[in-house]
Amino acid sequence: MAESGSHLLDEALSPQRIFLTHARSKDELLSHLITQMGQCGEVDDQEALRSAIFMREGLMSTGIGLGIGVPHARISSIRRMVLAIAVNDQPLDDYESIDNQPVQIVFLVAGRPDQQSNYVRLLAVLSHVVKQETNRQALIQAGSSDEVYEVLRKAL
Amino acid sequence: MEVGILLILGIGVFGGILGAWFFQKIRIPQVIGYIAIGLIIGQSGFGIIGELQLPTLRPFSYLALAFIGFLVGGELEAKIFKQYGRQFTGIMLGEGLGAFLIVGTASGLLLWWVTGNIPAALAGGLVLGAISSATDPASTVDVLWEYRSKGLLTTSLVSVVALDDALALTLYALGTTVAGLLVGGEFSYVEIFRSLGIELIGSVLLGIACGFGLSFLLKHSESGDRSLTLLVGSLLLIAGVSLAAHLDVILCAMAAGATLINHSPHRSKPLMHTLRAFAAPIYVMFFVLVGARLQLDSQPAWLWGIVAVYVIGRTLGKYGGAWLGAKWSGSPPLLQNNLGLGLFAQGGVAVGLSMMAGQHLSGVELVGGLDLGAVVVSAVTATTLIVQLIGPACVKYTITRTGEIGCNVTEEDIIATLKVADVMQPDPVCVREEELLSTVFDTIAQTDQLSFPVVNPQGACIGVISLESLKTLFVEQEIWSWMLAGDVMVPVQDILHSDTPLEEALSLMEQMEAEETILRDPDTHVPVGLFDLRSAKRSVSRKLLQMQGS
Repeated sequence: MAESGSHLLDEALSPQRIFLTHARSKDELLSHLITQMGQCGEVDDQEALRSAIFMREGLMSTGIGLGIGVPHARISSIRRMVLAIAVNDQPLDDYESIDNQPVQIVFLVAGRPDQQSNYVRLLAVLSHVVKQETNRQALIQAGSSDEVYEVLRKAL
Repeated sequence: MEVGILLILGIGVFGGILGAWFFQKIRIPQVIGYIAIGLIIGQSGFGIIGELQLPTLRPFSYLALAFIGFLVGGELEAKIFKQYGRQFTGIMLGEGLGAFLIVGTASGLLLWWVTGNIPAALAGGLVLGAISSATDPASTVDVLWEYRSKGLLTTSLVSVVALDDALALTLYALGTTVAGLLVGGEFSYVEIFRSLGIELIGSVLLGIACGFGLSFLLKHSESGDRSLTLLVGSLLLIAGVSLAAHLDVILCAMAAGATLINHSPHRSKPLMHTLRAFAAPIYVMFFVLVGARLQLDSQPAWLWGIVAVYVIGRTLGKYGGAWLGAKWSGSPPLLQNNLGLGLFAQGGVAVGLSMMAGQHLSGVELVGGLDLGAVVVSAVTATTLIVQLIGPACVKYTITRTGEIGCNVTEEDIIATLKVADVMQPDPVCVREEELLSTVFDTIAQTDQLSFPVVNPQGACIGVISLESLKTLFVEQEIWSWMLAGDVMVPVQDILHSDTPLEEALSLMEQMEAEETILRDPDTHVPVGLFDLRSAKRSVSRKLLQMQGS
């Protein structure tokens, strides 16, 4: 059964997986997030995650519009669903998105193949939150990981 | 070599099954396979079952006759007799008397031509004619059961073969009495009539009493296992008491079966079904013994003439008599034209009567040192072999011709014959892994599938969007514009393959609590079909209706 949005966020995210980054390309940003996620103790095979994320980007870029990117994948070498966030200091032009706007905020979601329901729910919750202009601005202007975390908690 | 009885039983049943399997492969009724194996291992073949073993195995044949009689009796429901009683009686009299008259006349004339002895020829004709009127219920019913036949012709066949034993016994009583008078033996026709009257009436009365007793006991029996044991025990008793009291085992068991089915139909019908399965190896052995008993020694040429006349005359008499009887009794054309074809089998009753005649007529010398008794025994043995080979095949032919073959089927029977490939939906609608969910939902709206295979660019099925996934996704419509089919698919579980038996498939689906599943090619993983429980059950029901001729 799908859990509530705030509960899902609490389970999947911790301030340690929120990064204020200075990447200059989509690949650099995604690689950074994957590496960080790989060190969080929940991912058993970082290369499998990297491969799955980039394979998914190969099918279609995960820029969902409004400056948001949601790279995501489900792999079996992960213990539970995890979320990592990067707020880049400037929009990335090479991150293709459905409204052709450059991407500045990236949510990387990794789940297990059998977590379809909560996985979809978390992606939908994130999509819902960032649709609000005020939430997006608050995330971009946040000065620290903790501030980003608080913006999200408040939004839910 | 001394062969133990148990080993003989083992060889008989096992060999019989192999014979049946071989004959079924060439589309010949299994009963011929049993008899053929009996011929091979019996007196005319390798002699594994010879003169020494046959008397020891005789009780086994009586037990089989009790089972057969009881199950045939179980098919005689009073309501059917109320509806068709006149027709059944007309057909039975027609086919019995037809065979009696033609075989009696033809074989009598031949015997007269060969021996010049008019009284002996008349006596032989009467006895052979009487014996020829009996039809073997065992092999006839075995074919009807094997091919799951159902319909008016089948019901009529069972009823007629069940009834004509009584006619054969009466004709035999008359025939041997007249024969005794003609050849001047020590016959007392009063005595023969009295003993056969006692045999007929006594058998029926004992059977009816046993039927009522069984009905009472079954009412108080708690479990199915105990009921079966009770039934088998009763049949052993029926066979034993009938033999001890010189009654007819098959008639007695038939009366018991008919009484039980009419007195407590609901309780006895499932029990008859169980008994039929239980009796299968006993039947096999019975028919193997029928084959083993047949002895084809060197005989004079004219005896083969008697055999030919008997077989041809009996065939014409049975078919023509059944046609006349059916016409006279106002039976429908289905019975007039086809029923006679199912009445050629000859078995235990004929052989038993020939043995009796063999004793009664052994003093009547003919030519070449042969006596009339030996001629009757040899002729009936040889003709039994011939008609047991053609009789079951003709039963199969007539039920096929009338379309009653395979109509007595249940859903379980249908399921047992099908594989997943027979009921799956081939070429299911697939979605590509890179398809946006908004497009996927457009596709979904146009089909009644509940699961959708997700395929990669090579066409291999890499996941499935199931009904459960669809429920979640339907709520989250804001992600449809950027999520792909590949993002939300769940792994494929290869529960079934195309060649999985349907019975196993249904059980697996129940265990998995699944309604629908995708089938993939084991090598390429290309989706080959969609197995949906509801569609599979609908297919089974449709096939059942088709087979039942509805």
